Amino acid sequence: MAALYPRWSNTVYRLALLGILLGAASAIAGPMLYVRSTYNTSQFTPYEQPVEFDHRHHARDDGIECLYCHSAAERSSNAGVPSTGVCMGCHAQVYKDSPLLATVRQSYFTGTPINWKRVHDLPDFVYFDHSVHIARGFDCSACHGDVGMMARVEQVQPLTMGWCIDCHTVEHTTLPNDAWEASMQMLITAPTRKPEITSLVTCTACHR
Amino acid sequence: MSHDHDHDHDHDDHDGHDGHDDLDGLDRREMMHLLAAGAGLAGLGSIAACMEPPTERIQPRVEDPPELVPGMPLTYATSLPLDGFAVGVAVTTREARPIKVEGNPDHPASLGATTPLHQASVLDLYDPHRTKGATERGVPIDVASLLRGFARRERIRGLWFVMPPQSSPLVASLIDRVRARHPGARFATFAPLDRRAVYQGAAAALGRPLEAQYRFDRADVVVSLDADFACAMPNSLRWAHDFAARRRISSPAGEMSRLYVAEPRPSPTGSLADHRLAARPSRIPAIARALFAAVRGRPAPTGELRERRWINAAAADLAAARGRGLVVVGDRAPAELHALVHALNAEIGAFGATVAFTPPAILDPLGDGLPEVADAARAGQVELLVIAEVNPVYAAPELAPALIGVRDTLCLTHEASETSARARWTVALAHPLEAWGDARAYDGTVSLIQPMIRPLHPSVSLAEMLAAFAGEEQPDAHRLLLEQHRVAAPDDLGWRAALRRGFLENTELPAVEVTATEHDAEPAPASGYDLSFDASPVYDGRFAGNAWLQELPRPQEKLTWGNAAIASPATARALGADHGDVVRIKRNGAVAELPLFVLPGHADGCVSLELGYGRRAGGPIAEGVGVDVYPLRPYGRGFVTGAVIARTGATAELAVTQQHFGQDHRDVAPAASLAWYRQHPRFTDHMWGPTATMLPVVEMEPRLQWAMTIDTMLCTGCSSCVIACQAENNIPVVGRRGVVRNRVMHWLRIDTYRAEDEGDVEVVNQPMLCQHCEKAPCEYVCPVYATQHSPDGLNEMVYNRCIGTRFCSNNCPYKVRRFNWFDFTGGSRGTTLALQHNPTVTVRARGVMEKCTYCVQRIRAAEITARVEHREIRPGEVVTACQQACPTGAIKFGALQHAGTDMVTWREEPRHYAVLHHLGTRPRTVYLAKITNPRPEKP
Repeated sequence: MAALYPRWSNTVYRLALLGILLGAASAIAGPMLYVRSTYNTSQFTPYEQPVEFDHRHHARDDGIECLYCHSAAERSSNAGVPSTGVCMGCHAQVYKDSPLLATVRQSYFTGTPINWKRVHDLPDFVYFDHSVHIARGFDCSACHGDVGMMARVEQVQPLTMGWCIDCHTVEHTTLPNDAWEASMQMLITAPTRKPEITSLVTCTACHR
Repeated sequence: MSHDHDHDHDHDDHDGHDGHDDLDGLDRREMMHLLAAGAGLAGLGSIAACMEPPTERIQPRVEDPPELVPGMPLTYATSLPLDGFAVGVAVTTREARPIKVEGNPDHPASLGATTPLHQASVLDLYDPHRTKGATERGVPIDVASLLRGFARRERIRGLWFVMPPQSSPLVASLIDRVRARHPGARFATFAPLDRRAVYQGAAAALGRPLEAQYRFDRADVVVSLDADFACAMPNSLRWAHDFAARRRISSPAGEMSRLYVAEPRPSPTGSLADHRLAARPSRIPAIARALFAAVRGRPAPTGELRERRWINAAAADLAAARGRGLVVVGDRAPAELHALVHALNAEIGAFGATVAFTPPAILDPLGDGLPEVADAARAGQVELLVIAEVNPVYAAPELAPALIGVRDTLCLTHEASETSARARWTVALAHPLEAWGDARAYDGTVSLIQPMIRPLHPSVSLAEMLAAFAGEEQPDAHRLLLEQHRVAAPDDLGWRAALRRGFLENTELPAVEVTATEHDAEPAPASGYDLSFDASPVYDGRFAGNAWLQELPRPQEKLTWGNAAIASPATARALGADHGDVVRIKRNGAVAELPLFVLPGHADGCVSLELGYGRRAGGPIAEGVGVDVYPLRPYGRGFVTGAVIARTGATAELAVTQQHFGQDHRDVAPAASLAWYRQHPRFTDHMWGPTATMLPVVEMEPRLQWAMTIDTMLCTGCSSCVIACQAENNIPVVGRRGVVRNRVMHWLRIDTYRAEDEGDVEVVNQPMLCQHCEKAPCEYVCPVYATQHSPDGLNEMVYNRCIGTRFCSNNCPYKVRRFNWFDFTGGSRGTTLALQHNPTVTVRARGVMEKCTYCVQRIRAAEITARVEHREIRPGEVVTACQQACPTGAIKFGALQHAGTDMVTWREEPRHYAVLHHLGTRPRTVYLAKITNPRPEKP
């Protein structure tokens, strides 16, 4: 009796079996990889902003401190995007006729806020606080990257819960030395010793 | 947001252009094809929409005010007046939105505490159903031009104003200016919960309409004659605080005051009483007379045994505590009774010791009232009637026809009310949180009102309205206030300090020396049933549009969303009616049908009715809730006799939050007399300490461990904490149906336990919130670890992890976990109500469990502040919302390491206990047993 199935059907069967296994594995691994992808975390995506603001020029070339414009970071949970008035504090004198600053001047003289895009966006059920991180000696670049090298600001760290916990679970470790040196130059009220990361790692530290 | 909008727009365009034409030429097969493709595309589109979160926007201010830092709360002092009496409050604003009202600790009428009405006022501010702008005969008009029109008129004849009682110095001088511009203008005051009898009684006994300033902190014996002084009187916050100071004992050796209460309906004050007498209101004058006679050595001759015993005991204590006793009578008592009690207080040496008298803060308390307006209207002498902030068409039905008959009426109103519906002009009333002004506190302290936010809608305050009539074309309350207090400029340092403080220092009214002439209160003969009229959680109906207050359970009845005829079990038996049966109440031709609410401890032969329900206007929250009982009430009376009551045969569903009031011999909320406590100081020993357990021992981490202590002997059940918690933690309301289905969301409730002992009803109020058990039963059963224990002793609830199995709620023996069966908060999205939300607390969506967090957002904020300032958290730095609101200071919160704070020392007292201790949950919330102080020998 001739074989009911031709010989090549064995191959098809094996391939199908392999496909099912791979499919099952990728059904699990796929989403796991996806949530870790920079696409999902919105990393490395420069945003086009209503004003062509260049941090390279302000932070690197002119050496303006982060806290000069984002002054709330030391005191408040929010770092705060500067008001138009802060821009005009300098640009009423410097480059006061530049066409790049037309939107800023329009905002200032008409009293309408500039509609910036949020680059670092945490979920609404996360309560992050800038002030305590600054007070414990963290440099802004630890989370925000070297903004002074960015033409348009982009998010460099994943800002996922796992990424937060990575630092916070290392009990009683201290900051890397370079971060400590950098932050000492920035702080107004410097702590007397290098701080330890002893913070509370518990749900309500961030979720309330 | 903008994304969605664009999308919708594209869709509309498409349909409009070619959708119709194409469809006509399609056959069925092609149609299915297109539909399938469309569905596929729509599916892809929605997946793409899920994947790509919309870019959030940041709009910084054009110019930052120096004090405003995004993310940092700001607190301002201001005052909230109610029927003329101001209470100082401190309002927390977030990004310039007021979100929470707290008491002002420095203000003499608040001392840091608030009433539920203060807590809920912030919701009124954001009420989407508020009136906006002005109308003339229903047609919107410009507010400014309406005011300008009145400002240009002079010598208006027949001009009458009706407003609530006023104490504001600014309003007083504006009234003078209006009188100068319009000679013959008349000003009448109207408050449904009238206090005129208080001043009439004082005028009769003391010669002048003076205000009594009680000193409960000096009173060893307090006798309350239908006076809910700890909760429902104008200076209750102060009095509750003072009473608690003389009441609380810190050890069995302590001395505490004794409280006698005679009242018809069990009140919060009555729940603290050592000897409580249930008495119908028409009987109170006779009791007062007998008490006076007994104080003079003539024992009570008449009345039933219980009443005689109560009177003789109270009289004996008052006579023994000369100069340390005090008799207080409720505001609704007739004037003669007030006069009699003044004479009684003089007799027991209370004058100058436990009670002083000052001129009243209220302007002209015995001046024109609503009846005078109605008389003038009937005589055709009212040409223009200005009705400000009051709703007489609803709250004074007897006089309403005369007022409606006036041709030109201008109504200044918060909501579209029964009165404003009949007015020619209506103008939106500015909320006190968005207006400038002033008002005196009960003791006379001039309290300042400053706006927390620019008016949400075009609106004016009463002061601005009066200024318009005084001829100001552009009335500006801020400038008027500066002129009133003779301040040259708004940046005057003294003025700034006063604004920061919230009041002008040393402006309380000076006490005057008085002697009382004797007066007799001839008791009116009682017939039929007494009807006693009380304020409700929505006060006199003006707050009926406030959903928090509508859903606030009554302290004793636990009734929400509506009113009932509250009566004793004996009265119910006499009527042949049961709890929930609808009864028909008739008096003098007026009829009302309400469900009967059977309440043990209520006086027999009397039914208590609450005002403020059955609104026919006022917005969707207010309308149709409960039954209007104003028609049963003669104008201005607090009680009436001669009602006829019969059951109708119908039944009604009562929306209550607690159905069972017994402890069933399980010692859930223990109570004892002082004498018993002294003999058995460790009577709660079986309710604390280690229990046998199979669970591993958990070592406490060496960091601050949070805990709470609640003294049930101070809890009146006033429920200020309940609303404070609701405001702080974005807790939604569930509506009447939700309450009936036991879906109420309050994180903090007040459990009331009643025990009947020889006809006396003993009550324990026990605030019940998450106990933060060290061995929490909820934590073991959560399949997704959405509830866990924190290293600082909190039982945490993580909303973003919760999948809504509700296992935790099933396993919680305290029933403090609440489940979002529906998207209760969704209704506020996109409305002004969303502006009230506390941004430091997640607004929960459908399908997640929630519960008390010990205000963890405040704990974490304090931790962060302490770290930023490189210091430790100070004792007393973290205050929970409920603790802050409590008038008697019954709730204490803090860290166990902070030795010496009340929270820690209280829980070391012998009478401390853990609720359901035998379950071994080891709660962090510890209670102190209620101690009462009855006369040692049974009177």
